[in-house]
Amino acid sequence: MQCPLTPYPSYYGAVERITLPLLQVLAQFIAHPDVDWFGYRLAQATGLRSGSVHENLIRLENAGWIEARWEEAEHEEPHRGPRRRLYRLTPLGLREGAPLLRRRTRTLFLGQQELG
Amino acid sequence: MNRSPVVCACDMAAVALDGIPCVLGAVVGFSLCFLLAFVLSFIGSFQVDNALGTVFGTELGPTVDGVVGTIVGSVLGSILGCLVATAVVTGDQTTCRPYSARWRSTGVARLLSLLVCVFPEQCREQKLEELCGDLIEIESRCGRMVYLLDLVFDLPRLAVAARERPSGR
Repeated sequence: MQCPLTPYPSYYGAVERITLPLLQVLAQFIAHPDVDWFGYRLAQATGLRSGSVHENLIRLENAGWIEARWEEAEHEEPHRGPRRRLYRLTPLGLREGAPLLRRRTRTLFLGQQELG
Repeated sequence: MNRSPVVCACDMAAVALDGIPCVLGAVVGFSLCFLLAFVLSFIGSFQVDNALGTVFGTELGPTVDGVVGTIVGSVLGSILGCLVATAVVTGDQTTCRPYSARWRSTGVARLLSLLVCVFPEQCREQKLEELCGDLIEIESRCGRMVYLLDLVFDLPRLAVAARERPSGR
């Protein structure tokens, strides 16, 4: 059965709440667009909590900015172990996410300058 | 991803132990724990007797209460030892590929299957497998604990994210 977390075409396009953890996760995808990321590796790369990483993965996937697939298992069911779910940036994510990230990081940078 | 020698050893141990039935393993484990606890209790009580005898200047022999207490203590100690050993082995199973066919029945998978109840029903299986797949990549037990605790703390937000849909579209 198709999982509702898998984005529907009509939902594609935008992420509603832009948070700092979301930008951190997005930054990893944009910095390494050809890498297959999974939850734990993203948590390591960003320093975020695993729950926060998974929350933002769901939101980015709902927006269609990243796409998910299962890693190829060494064995067939029922002899295989749990597979990792691998995420990769979509062209839409690159097109929408890169300017957003640039905009938001510039704002952060200016804010940091004001703080001295 | 490269695996540490500890995890490889764990894999090999899992293969070696795979043929031993659980009941036999539990009986052997309990017997060993009982023997160890009994010996330790006996040595402990002997030392206490000696110490008390030295302090009070009396000779304390073994009493019925003391023997019964030693046996009861040994039984309780071995039950506790078995429980701890089971918890440790259960925690290790998620790192062992050879156990992979039974990964859904590990303690961690059962705990996660409770946590994923916050997700829409159709996604629970997928999320369970994804989280277990993540856990396999974490080589230290401490790291797995932290990963699980973080998940628990962020569960409400995860639930909201899983159920929310962008509005107006």
